[in-house]
Amino acid sequence: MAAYREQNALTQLLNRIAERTDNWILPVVYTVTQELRIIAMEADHYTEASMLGSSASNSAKPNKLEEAARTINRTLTVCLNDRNSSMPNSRKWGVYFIISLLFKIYFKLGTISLATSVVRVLNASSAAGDIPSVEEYPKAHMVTFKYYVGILAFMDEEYEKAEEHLRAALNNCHKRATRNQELILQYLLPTTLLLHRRYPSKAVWRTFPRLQIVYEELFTASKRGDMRTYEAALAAREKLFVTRRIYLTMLKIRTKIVRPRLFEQVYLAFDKGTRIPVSAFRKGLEFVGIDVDDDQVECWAAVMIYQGQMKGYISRERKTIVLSNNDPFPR
Amino acid sequence: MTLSSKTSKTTSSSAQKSPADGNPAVWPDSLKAYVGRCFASVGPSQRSAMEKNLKKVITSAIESTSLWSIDWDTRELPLDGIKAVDDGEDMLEKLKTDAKKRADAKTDSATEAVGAMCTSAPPPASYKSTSITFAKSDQQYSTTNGQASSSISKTTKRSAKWDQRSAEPETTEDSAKRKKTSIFAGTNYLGSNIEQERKEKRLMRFDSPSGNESTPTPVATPDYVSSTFVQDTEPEIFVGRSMRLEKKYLRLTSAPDPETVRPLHILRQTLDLLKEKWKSERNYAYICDQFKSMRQDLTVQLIQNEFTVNVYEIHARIALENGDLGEYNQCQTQLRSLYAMNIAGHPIEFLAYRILYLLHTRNRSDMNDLLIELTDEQKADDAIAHALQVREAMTDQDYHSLMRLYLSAPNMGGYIMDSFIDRERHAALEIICKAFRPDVPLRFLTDEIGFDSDKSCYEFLEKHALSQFIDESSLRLRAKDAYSTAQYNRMTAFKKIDIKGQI
Repeated sequence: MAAYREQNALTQLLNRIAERTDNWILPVVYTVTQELRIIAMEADHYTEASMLGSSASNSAKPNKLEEAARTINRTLTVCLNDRNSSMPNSRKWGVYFIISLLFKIYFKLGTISLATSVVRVLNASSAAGDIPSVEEYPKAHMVTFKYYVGILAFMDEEYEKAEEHLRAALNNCHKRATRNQELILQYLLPTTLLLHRRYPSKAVWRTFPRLQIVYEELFTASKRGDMRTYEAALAAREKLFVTRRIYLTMLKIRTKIVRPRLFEQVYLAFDKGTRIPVSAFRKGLEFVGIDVDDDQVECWAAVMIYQGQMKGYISRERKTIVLSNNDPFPR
Repeated sequence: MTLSSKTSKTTSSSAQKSPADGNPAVWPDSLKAYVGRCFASVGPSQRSAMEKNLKKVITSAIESTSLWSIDWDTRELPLDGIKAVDDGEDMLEKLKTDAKKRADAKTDSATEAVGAMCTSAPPPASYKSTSITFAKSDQQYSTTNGQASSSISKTTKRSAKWDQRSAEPETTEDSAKRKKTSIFAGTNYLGSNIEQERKEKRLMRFDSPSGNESTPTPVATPDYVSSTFVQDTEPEIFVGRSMRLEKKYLRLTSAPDPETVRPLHILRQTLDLLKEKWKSERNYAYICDQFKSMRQDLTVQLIQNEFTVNVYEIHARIALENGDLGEYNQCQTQLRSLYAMNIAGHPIEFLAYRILYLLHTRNRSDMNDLLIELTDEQKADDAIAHALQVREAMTDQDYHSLMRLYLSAPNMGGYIMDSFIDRERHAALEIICKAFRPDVPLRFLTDEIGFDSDKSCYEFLEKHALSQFIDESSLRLRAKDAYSTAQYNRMTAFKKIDIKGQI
């Protein structure tokens, strides 16, 4: 606790000093803020542990990390608001490092909205041409930054944007930093599957065995339209996906990828006949353990037609789905 | 500082040599002990209230440079507005055992906090005269009030004083018991009323030379203090003394007046009355207004207990019933923090509402946060399971399931779903018009977009310019012709919500 207090004071002091200098001080700032984050987490662990020990009633909450975030946020302002020195010497070169640090803290604290607001501040200043583009910064800064912005977009269901950022992060990631690549791919793989129905190669599974454990079964099931396996695998990983905020995307994959594949299987079973009774699809669903009525099947088919995963129309009168002659399940 | 030297003349033992008069960094030991006693005398929930009061006392002392001259050992504890706790008994048990421990443990940090506040509030020159008066009056008070030196006997004295006023004899044997009842029950409406009077008298004695006006302005003590010394404009904590059951809601623009604020026991009666009125009259505008004023009275008195939860829950339900999501959301926000304090209520029921509400506002990040915190136990609850299914159906655009869930919503969930169901109906209609050929019967639409009768479904279609595509004889909707209108309807319905989360 004392260590935290000192480090926080030191950082605040450093903020004030840095205001009057140019970028020679950045390495010092990096070290100090980095350490502040770590010490703050330690302090919170300590408080938590002692809270477990004593029987509640202790009013002190583990909030040092929040406080540290405020201090570091101040550092960010100091870096952003460098009006004096010329660009090569500017403190602005510290911006992306500090932002990445803040992202780490905000994600840890689960205060995602704060992360979004930091991005907004940053976008405002880069739009005004105040800071160099992120590509000109050290790659390490850029990769971390792109990774977090990618995840933010992913969580907002802006998958195109997420893909762009995550891919940039992956391409610039150090090739031996496999842990980081794994983290990036964790979000990038479902994104590309959802957007382009593209599956990772075997090589990916070999390099990242943990991703294989999480995703391979789900991906294979989605390819084959195997709803039953997909549902079971998803349920088994629900907790993980929810905490990583991937669950929603996996549900989307289920409706946009897995279910159309299942319908396609029925279509293939009918030897690519274009007029298939609704009940046939219902039996197909039943076969993989999904017991629903015809109206539900029609609804799902309607959504697929609406979203363009299936071409054709539904005849309510004849209880038949009429599929397009030409490529009824476009890629 | 002529006055400061004057006052230091009157003080006794604790006025040690004051090396740094006016320097807040150095405090007399007696003051530290005083702060310790103050915190020891209140429960954890009132800690912040006490801190506020202390801040005022000390700020004024520093401003009048009487920090070293005040006899902290005999000074009264600043208990103004420290609210009564409903489960007082539990509190007291805890208090008895913890008081000492806490005093030891917390004095340091508390002292620090208050000290920091003092240093950050430099006194403007114009405050000087009043603050001196204040210090002087307190000085006077502490001398007239006798020379008790320990905190216990001090508080006992206070309670004895109150009891005298309320004509209740006191024995020394149960003085410990007295102490606690007076701290908690005493700060209830009656106690502070008396204290109030006393303060007013004092105020008049020293502040207004004109003396005995027959109608003293009913200013609450914290009011007087805050308007005089403290720059922050936060509403103060106190106990009101209005006896009227009903009150119109008025947004507060200044510090609340205790004459118009109803204390807890009156508010309880108010709630019963309002429940009756709601049952018999069902006048939402009136009820909503009354509940808002109740919430305001609870807030300004910092009352946070099961009664508070009850008020917010009932108001939230009534607001839902009347489609007033803005008001509902205010209640919901308060309820969340009240539940977080482990005050009993119906957290599960309202958690389910919150999920539905977040679906309405389409707040993805809050929804994600909420889902992460959901426990398996909560997920097993029917209402929550229902809300989660609604969410899944909406992500899937699965109108068929969604409408089934809409018609079977538990509790008042249906009312929240009302607020976004039309939006989803338009989405469903667009999908249906796109996917079905050549037409669909009205009967089918009624089922799929969640109406309980063909008539109400037809009215909905009529309202949104879709009935023109219905064939009069067969009662079937020509899907292809209706598509562009349905698409337009969906786009307008969703655009509205994109801009603003609430109605």
